[in-house]
Amino acid sequence: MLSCIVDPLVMDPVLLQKQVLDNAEDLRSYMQDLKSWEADMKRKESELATTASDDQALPPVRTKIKKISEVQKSKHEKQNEMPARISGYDYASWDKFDVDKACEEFDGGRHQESEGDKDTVSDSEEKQIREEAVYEKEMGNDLVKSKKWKEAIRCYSRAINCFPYDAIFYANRALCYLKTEDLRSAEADCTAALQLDSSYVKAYQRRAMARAGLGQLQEARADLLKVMELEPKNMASKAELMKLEKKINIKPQQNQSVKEPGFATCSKNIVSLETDKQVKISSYALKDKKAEKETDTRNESKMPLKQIIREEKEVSQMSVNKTTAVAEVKKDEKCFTDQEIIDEQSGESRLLENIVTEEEIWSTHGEVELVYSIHKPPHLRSKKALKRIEIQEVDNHFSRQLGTSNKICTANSVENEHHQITVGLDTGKPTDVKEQKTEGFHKVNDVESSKMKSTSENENSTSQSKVTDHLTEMVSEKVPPIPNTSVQFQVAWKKVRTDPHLSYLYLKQIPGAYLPKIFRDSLESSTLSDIISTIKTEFIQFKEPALSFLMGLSDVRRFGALAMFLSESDKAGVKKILEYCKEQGECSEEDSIDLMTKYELY
Amino acid sequence: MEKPQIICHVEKSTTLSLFDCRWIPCSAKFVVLGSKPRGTGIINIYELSEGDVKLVKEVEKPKAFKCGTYGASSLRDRYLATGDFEGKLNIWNLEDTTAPIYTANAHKEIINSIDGVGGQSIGCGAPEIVTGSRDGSVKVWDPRQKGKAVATMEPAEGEAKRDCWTVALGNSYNSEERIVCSGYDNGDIKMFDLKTMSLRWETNVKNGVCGIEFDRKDIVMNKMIVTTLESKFYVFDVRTQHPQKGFAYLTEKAHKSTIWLARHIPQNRDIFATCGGAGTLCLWKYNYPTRRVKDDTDGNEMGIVGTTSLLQNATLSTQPISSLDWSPDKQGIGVCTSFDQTIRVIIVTKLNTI
Repeated sequence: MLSCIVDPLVMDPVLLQKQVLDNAEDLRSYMQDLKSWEADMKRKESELATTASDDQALPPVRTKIKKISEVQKSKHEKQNEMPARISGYDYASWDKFDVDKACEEFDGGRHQESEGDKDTVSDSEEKQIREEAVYEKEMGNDLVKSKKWKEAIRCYSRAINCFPYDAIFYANRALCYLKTEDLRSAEADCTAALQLDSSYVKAYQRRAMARAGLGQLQEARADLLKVMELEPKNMASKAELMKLEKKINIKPQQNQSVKEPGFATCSKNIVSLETDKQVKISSYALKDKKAEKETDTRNESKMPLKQIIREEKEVSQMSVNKTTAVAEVKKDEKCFTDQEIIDEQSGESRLLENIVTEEEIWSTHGEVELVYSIHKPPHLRSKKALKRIEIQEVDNHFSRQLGTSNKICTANSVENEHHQITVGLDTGKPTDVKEQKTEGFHKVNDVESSKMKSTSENENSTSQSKVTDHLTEMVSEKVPPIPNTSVQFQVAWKKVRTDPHLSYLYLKQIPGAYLPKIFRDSLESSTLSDIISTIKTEFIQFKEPALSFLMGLSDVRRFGALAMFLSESDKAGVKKILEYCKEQGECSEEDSIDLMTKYELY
Repeated sequence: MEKPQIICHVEKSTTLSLFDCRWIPCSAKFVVLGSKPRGTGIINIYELSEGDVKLVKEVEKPKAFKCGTYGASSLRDRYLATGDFEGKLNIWNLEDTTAPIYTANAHKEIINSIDGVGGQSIGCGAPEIVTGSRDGSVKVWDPRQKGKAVATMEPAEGEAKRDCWTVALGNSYNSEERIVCSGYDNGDIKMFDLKTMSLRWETNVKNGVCGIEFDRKDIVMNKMIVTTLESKFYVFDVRTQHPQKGFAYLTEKAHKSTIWLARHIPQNRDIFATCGGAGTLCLWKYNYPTRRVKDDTDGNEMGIVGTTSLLQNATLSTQPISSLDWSPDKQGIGVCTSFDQTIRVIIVTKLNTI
């Protein structure tokens, strides 16, 4: 189909014919051209598929630019007050707006920013991951709006998987956990969020809610106080705090009224335990041939507060800061050592804690004071929540001491038991009383037992004094046992961390591979750096293998987040340890590289 | 005598209602978008081969497609962004069309117009797609941000919602500057500055605005053509904006019917074609004035508009030409669709001698 316009003025047939010819020639050459172009394009297209990607740095997504520039603009605004933004669809207002001036101003501001913006563009890969995570978060937020908590949790978990360094993801998931009544997970998530952003008000609020729900009122209060510190005008938190304080205040008052009868039974020279604290000590009840009453102190219906206490003045003198209840009972054939040291962690200790040490050889000592369990009707029982009690062990050394001084007892087996006993209170809120009990089980030869009885009488006084003298020493030398949980570790670590040698001894006994199991996800960065410094100084000094610790620590959950917070000195420490491991020949090149990445040493 | 000729190279009749057509960058292929009589959406890929077009691939989707663009896609990817009758924005990899690589419920009603920028020219900003819809809103999308527009321009609460017929992107000469221009059924034209997120300029041309196009997207904005109902089109010189008078412009009457759209030749920004409601196609040249800027009495700069001259016209069909696209790779070759369900490949000669 040919269409050519012929100028009506040009009627010259020759010219006309020439034009038609020219046009036809043009078209023909164009068609020729087109054919070669088609072939050319086909070739180019196939090449295109194989060309490598030439990734060019693209500017960030517009909404992101806006956020960045708004931050910078707010800085700007302090210097010269910018007029309020006119919304995009407020057409009338825009009529009066001097665009050029605004653009100029904006350009001025922009130039200063351009430096800073470069950082946000770099590392596009991380950005992509982060965007993926943000997308999941947005989905999660939508689900939260429609109250689909479970699905939202899944979305946030995916977001955290993609990008585990954003406090918002954790805090949002914590909200969903709160809504699904999974208070422990909620608390853990809030803690994670706060590790990433220590001034995140919402995380504090949510943790306070979770903790209040878990009965950890003091901790909840501390969180709310932090909220008030960060946001003094936060009315909701204020109200919450008032409520909580009321709750906390009611309890001690009730407690005081019940206190009296508890004390009444304690005689003067018996070193009394502070019943106010509602400490329940479970001690092994031992059967005696003389038909001593058998008391199962673990029986919760009774007040299992049983102490067999020897009157010894030196002992009571020692009782200064710690509640130490040591009960040792010896039988004819069997010798039980049962000691319990209870440490009150509470900060508001009004009374001194006591150390009670006792050793009773039933057959020879008649002066026995028994503290029986007190049975209180439920309505008189304290309403106060139980506290965590740390129990220190003294028995190993103690019994050894005893064995050597008496030269009768040979310790056949020493068994360490760590109990985690949950004692129900009448408030119905369970609190853990942690108790570590060690039993030194000594077998005594029948033949020698009679000898023992006779000798022990005169030797006992000397050995006792020795024991008590040594006790103070031993406690300081004490290396806590291998922990099973991070709480146990933290408590023990608090004690040993001041003494580098002690912390070395403590760490050494823990197999490195157990660390992830012990810490689960509650390893804190301060603890991590303590451990690293201990390994760095002590392990290297004593040529102890350290690789398993580095490996173990790096396998702890959420270690990636912790590694981010490692200080330069910690990183230097890790490097030093790695070099040392290589020297010792326990660390291969691959392991070292692997650890270097895990500890973010690059 | 040295006038270019407009020649219909290939005519291909289909059974589809055709709404839009686009050349696939860096190829001798083009896509047409439309719907089947039963209302399903169709993307057809045709290839030019030795004086004929061959159907390479047909993609059928549940909803009719209204418009599409390759503007926001790189040459390597060549992903097609489409707007459909349901208000959905999709981006397709035409190699594998089982599912869109990006999807967003962009609008409540049909997306009338789509435009993209940032994909092909390097250093000219992020890839962005703008959509205009019957629901009155204009939205800007970044394919990297899923499901959410990066900017939305809509009438304020309570204000009448006008049907947005056309959108265009321009002024994207660096990574920050960008302009969106939209035309509405009541003759409103609004120019939004995406950098400052503000309305930069607006006017009303009395007749519904069918088409807007900047002569180039990736330069400091230079010229903009606005086509309207009632056979008029406007050429705005958008280099210089006067605080009161706005942009200088000229009006031209052509086609004796609705002018559906105008398209600049990618290889020569001063030559453009307009497509009319009676199936006619006119080729125009814009002539710049000797001085483009003058000072008014207040010392403000004011633009001076040039003139247009008709180079050639041709009647291709009896029905309106609804879309036209010039090949970015070969000067003088274009594809257009019209409401007579026919695809036409046209050739314009002598463009290099003008």
